[in-house]
Amino acid sequence: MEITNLDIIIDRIRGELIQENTIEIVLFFNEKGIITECNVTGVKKLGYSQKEIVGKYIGEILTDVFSIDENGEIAYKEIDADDSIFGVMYRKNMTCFDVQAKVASKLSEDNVYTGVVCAVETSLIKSAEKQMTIAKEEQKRTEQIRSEFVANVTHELRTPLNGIIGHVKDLRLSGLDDTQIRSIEIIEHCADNMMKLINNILDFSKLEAGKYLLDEQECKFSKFIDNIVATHIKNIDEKGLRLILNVASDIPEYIMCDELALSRILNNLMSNAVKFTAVGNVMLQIMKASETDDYVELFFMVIDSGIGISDDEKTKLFKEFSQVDASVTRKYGGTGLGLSITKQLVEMMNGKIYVESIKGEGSTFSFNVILKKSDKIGNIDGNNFTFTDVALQAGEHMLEQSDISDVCKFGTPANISEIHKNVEKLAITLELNNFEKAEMFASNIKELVSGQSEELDKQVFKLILTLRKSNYDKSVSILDNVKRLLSDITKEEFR
Amino acid sequence: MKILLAEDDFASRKFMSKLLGEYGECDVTVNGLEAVDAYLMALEDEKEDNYDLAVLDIMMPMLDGYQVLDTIRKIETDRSIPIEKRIKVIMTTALNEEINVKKAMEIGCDAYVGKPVDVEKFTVLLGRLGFKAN
Repeated sequence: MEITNLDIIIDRIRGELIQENTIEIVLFFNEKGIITECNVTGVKKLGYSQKEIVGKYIGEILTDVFSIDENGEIAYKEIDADDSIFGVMYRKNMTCFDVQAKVASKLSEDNVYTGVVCAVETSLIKSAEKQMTIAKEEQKRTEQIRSEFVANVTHELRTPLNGIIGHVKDLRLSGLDDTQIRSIEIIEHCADNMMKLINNILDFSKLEAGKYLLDEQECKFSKFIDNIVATHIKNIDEKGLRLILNVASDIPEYIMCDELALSRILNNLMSNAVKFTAVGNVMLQIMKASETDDYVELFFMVIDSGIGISDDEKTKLFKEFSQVDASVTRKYGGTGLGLSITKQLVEMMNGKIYVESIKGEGSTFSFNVILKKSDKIGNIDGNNFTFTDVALQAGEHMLEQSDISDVCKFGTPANISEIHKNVEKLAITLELNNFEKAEMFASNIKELVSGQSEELDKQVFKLILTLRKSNYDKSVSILDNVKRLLSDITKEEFR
Repeated sequence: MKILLAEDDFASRKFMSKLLGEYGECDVTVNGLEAVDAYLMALEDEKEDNYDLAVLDIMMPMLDGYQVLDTIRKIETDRSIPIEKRIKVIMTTALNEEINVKKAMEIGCDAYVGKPVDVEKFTVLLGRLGFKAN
C-alpha cells in the first residue's frame, strides 16, 4: 500500500517537473545518489544547466544528508518521510542557502531504485509566513473597520431618526385634523420600522463580532412573561386571533438571565407568529426541561396556525438576510435578520432553536436555554399574570399542536364560525368608520372562502377593493355599497 | 376615468391612492395577483367600465409588476383590443437603474416613474398621457 501511495506522489511530482513557477526544488536520483532529473526551479536556483546537473552526485548539492555505504550505494541519515530535514544546498558557484527538504525513495518491482528530494528555500517559507501574518492582520483590521463602520453608520442613521420620531410625536399633539393625523401616523409607523431595522443591524454586527455580552440579572419570571404577553396582546386582538399561554407551574420564579436578550428572542418569535397568522391561535408554552442545584433548563414553544414553512424554506430560515421568500419580505416586512439574531442569542444562552412546520397549517418554533438559578427559591407565581386566559399547568398536561391547528383547517365547521366571526367584526368596524381594520377582516374572510365558490371569491374581492377606496373617499354610496356586498356574502354563507 | 393601482407598501399605497383619487375612481390592489384579478374582473363584467390607467409597482409579492404588465398586454392581444383602447400603464419602483426602465418599456409600459414619486413630475406625466385631474 505504502509503495502505491509513494508511486502516486512521485508520479505527481514528476508531472510537476515541467512547471516553471513552483517554489520547490525537485531532484530525482538513483541508487548511487546520481541525479537523474531536476525541475526548472532547481536548475534556476542551483545555477546549473539541465545537462550539467544530471549525473551530479546528490551529496554535492545537499550535504550532510546522504552517505554512501560499503557497497557504494546511497543511504540517508534520517529516512523518516514525515519529518522535514533542515539542510544546506550548494549552488554551482559554491555559494549556499538554507533549505527545508523532504526525502523519499522507493524500490519498484523490477528493482529499480528511485529517490526524490523536495526542497524549499527557508527564506521563501519565512517570507510566505510573513505574508500570511500580514494578510491575517489586514483581515483583522478590515473586520474591525467594518464593525466600527457599521456601528458608526447605524448611529449616524439613528440620530436623525430620533429627531424625526420626536418631532412627529410633538406634531401629533399640536391639534391636527383627521387627515393630517393619519399622515403623521404613517410617518411614525415608517420611522419606527426603520428604527427597528437599524437596531437589528447593529445587534447583528455586534453578535458577528462577538461583542454582544450577556448581562445576567435576577429576574422575576412571571413578571417577565407577563411583559412579553403585554407587548403582543394588542396586535393579537386586533388581528382577531386568540392567544393561549401555558406556563408549567414548576418553573422557578426567580432566575438569573439577560432579560433583554431573552425578551428579544421571545418577542421575535411571537411577532413572527402573529405576523404570519391570519386566523386561529398563537400559543406560548413554557416548560421546565431539567433542573440541577445551580441551573435550570427551560423549554419555550411558540406555536401558530399561520402560513407555515415548507421543508425547502426551513433550511434557509436562520441564515442572515433571508426570509423564506423575497416576496414574503414585501408582504410582511422585515429585514430577514430577526431569526438569525434569535438563533445566535439562543446559542449564547447554551441552547438550541428548532422549527417544525407544515406548509399551510402552522409552525412551531421551540428553543431551550440553560439559566442560572437565583438564591431566592419558590415556584412561579400565577398572581403576577395580568393576562387573564393564562393556564398555569403541571408540565405533563400541555396542549399539543394539533389542538390549535385544527381550528383553522379548511372546510371544518370551525371554518364557518371563523368566517362568521370575521363578518361580525367587519360589520362593527364599519359602524365605527374604521376602514383599515375592516379591510383586514375582509382579507381574513377572503382567505377563508378562497376556493369555495368563484362567485363568492369575486364578491369578497370587490368588497375589499371598495373598502380600500373608502380609505380616502368616504362617500355614503361606498358605505352602502359595502353593506350591500356584506349582506350578499352573509346570505351566501347561510345558504 | 378608472384607475388600477398595485402597490404593496402601505405608506406608498396611501400616498398614491390619494394622488390618483383626484383623477378618477381608483381601485387599490396590494399585490400582482390582485391587480390581474381586478383587471380581469372589470374586463369580464359588462356593466363595468374597463380601466383607463394602471399604476404598477415592480417589486410586489405573488406577481411582480413586469408579470402583471405582461399578462395584461397578452390578454389585450388575445382579445384583439384596439391599440387606442388599451390600458395606459405607468411603472413605479425604487429600482431606478436603466436596465429596469428598458425591461419595462420592452414589455409595453407607457411611462416609468422612479420612487420616491415626485408629485409635480408625476402630474406632468399624467397630463402628457392625456389624463386631467377632476
